[in-house]
Amino acid sequence: MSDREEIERVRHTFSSQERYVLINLAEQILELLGQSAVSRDPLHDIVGISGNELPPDDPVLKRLLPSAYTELQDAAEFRRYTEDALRDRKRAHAHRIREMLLDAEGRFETTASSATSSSGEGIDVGMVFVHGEQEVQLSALTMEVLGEDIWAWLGALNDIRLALAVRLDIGGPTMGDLPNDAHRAMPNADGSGEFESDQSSHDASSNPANSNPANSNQEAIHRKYELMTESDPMKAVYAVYSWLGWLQEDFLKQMDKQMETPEDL
Amino acid sequence: MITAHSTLSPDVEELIESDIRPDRPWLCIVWDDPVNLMNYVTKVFMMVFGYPRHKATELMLKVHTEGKAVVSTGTREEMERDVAKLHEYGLWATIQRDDE
Repeated sequence: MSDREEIERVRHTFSSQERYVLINLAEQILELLGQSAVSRDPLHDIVGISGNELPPDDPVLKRLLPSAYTELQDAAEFRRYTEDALRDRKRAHAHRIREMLLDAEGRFETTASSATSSSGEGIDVGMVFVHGEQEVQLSALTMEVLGEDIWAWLGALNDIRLALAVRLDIGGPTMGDLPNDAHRAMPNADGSGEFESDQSSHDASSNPANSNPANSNQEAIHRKYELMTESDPMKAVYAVYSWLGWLQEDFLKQMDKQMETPEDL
Repeated sequence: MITAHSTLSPDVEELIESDIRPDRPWLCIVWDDPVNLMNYVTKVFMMVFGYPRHKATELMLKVHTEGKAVVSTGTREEMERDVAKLHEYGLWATIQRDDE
């Protein structure tokens, strides 16, 4: 990041619809991460301790703020001292992409009449949407993302994809649960073997002899949503999820290209 | 005759000693998550740990095929820093003591 000599840059054109969707998703993440599971003590705020010791109940938050230890006490202690900072850093990423998507000043803003949507479906006439108290005019936008902002984008896109994946049930109900599940199992007096025994009760994901079920399920999930009727709202959610994966991949490919040919910059 | 042992300087002996019993009792483990793109996971390893691409790719593939991989080792404090960074970018990571 900051220690790179070359400033990395990524360019992407968003249609007005894409901007709208992504601004909304970023705001949902901001709101979700702003919620605290326990009543906040102002003193805790000052010293940066959240007071949260248990993983969040909300399955999305649990996925975004996973436990760092398989052992209950260590996990609780680590969470108490670090969860707020993690929420803040994730919020900073989401805030940054929201800001860049809303910002119509100077960033290669294209006029509504000449812009085409990235899907190539003709002219993007732009759109007006009500944002809080004000109306915001969105047209297609080509933006250049530089340096540290690229990682804010990658992180925020990944958080949004994780959140959507929970709603889409990608990875199954146990996804994100594995370390936390150790909390439910009674820890051995010496704590030994706790993680492994818990692991074996789940699936064979730690066994190299079996292919990871989570991976082989990907195709089945894709088929499931492909076959859904257009009227099913989850089909649209899956379409957004897929698009965000494609967008993230586009960023990564552009970064790769620059790493290969730095002299061309 | 000079024995092999006595030809080693104290510094080298210390180096060998630390190779055999490294003082690195904590591990940072990354778990497979089908949501995270393979290319993304590789990039995060390169960014967080400064690993060269081939090493980052190898670790990513290990996570992908085996379900988990040890991605770094060190002191508990170092591992906590690593995990915090990995969580920031949405990877599913835990810390545990090296049992060996």
